[in-house]
Amino acid sequence: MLDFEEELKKFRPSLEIDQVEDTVYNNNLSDVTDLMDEMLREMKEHQ
Amino acid sequence: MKCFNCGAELTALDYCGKCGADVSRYCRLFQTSNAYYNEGLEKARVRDLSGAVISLRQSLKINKKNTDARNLLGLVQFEMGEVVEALSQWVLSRNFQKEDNLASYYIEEIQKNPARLSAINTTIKKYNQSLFYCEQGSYDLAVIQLKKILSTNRNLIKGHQLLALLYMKMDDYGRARSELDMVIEIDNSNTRALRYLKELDDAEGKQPRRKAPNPKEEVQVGKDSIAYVSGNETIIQPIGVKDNTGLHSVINVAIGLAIGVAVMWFLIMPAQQQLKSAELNEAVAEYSDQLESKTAALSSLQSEMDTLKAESEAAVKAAGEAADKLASQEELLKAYRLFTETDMAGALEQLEQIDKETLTDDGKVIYDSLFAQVGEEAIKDLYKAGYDAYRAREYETAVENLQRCYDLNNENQDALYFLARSYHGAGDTEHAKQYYQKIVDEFPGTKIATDAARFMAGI
Repeated sequence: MLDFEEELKKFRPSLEIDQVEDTVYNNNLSDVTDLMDEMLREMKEHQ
Repeated sequence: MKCFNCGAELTALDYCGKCGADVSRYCRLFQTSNAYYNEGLEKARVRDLSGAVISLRQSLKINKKNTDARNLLGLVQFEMGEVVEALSQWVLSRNFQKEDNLASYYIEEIQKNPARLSAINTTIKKYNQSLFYCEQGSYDLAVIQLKKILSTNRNLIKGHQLLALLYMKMDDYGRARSELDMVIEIDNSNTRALRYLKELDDAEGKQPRRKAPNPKEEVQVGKDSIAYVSGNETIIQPIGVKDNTGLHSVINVAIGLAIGVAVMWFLIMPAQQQLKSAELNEAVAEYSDQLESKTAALSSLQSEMDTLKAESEAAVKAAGEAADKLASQEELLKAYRLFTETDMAGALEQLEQIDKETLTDDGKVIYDSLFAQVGEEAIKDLYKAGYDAYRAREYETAVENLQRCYDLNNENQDALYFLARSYHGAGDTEHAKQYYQKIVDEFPGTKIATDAARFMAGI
């Protein structure tokens, strides 16, 4: 059976409209291509 | 697509035409990102929104500049009621691709309708408030708030989920299932909703639910009706029903009248009776107060009357005593007048009628002095008158005077002797014997005792 209290903890407050800007700025936008660029850069430096 | 090494535009070749860098793996990453986007798109088309979000996020992890994937992610999140996340994705998308970007259109559409945006923001605030109520244990308030939110923003999946969880907490499984069905309608692979439904099935001891039938699907039920499902309700609608509008109107009016009478009987009449009862109770209370005050006044008057009665009796008694005193004073004066006229017997008689206790102290002194003077003379007069009457054989007169003389002075032997003789002479032998015996007893050894004994023996 569900543990109500535990389930309730999984619900988080929703972001409000005026927090859009913060969300955009705090978004971690690193992707695999960034990692690859970084790896290539490091390889070049070692060479 | 641009070269990661020099930024030159890439062609279909596996290397950069400008710097010669191997871009084959780089191109494969882009292809993988696009594959995830396609997968997300396919999932979104069949309303597997949760699955679509996962695929699209995966796509963006590989290539953050995949604006199609980002725009679609925003759209899916908007459909799931996550407006802020959606806006964030679109803003980022527009940042990566300023021209010819669908994200600009979405943002403009939202900005064009500030009232709608404000309403959405209000629902978000209320949702957060509901969560706060839940943390405080005010589940009823949370349910009320969530119902309001979902009437404005029907697609807020987490709102439906939270409401379902609260209903499950309250053991209201029917409503919980209804909320979860709404979630499944929006996002048919929503993991949390499916898990809750499984819990509901377990709690109710049912087999897992089969997929819900198409809401619009109509099923023929018998030959006169069809049934279709709308939401959670199966509606059976008759077909080819005869139009009886007039009859229905009359029936409706009759039902309305009956309801009106029932309302009058069950609501208005009891209210009026209650009002009358309240007024009656108030009047009874008022009369009760009045009665209590009258009773108190009556009691006070009764007490006053008792006091006055006692005073009146005391006054009457005092008046009576004063009258007695006055009468005694007059008697005393009358006796004194007879004394001065030397009528000792009359004076004595008058004195005997006086109640000495009613006299004043001075009156008592006069009374005693007068009685001493009158008594001595009166005894002599009475004896003389009695003896004279005895000698004249007037025994009744003799008895009267001698009796009084003896009463005044019971040591007078002669008065006693001639009293006995007078009784004897008058034929009253009983009294004669009584007094003879008294002489014998009180004056033994005297001549009169010897004579008395002799006369007594002769009777």
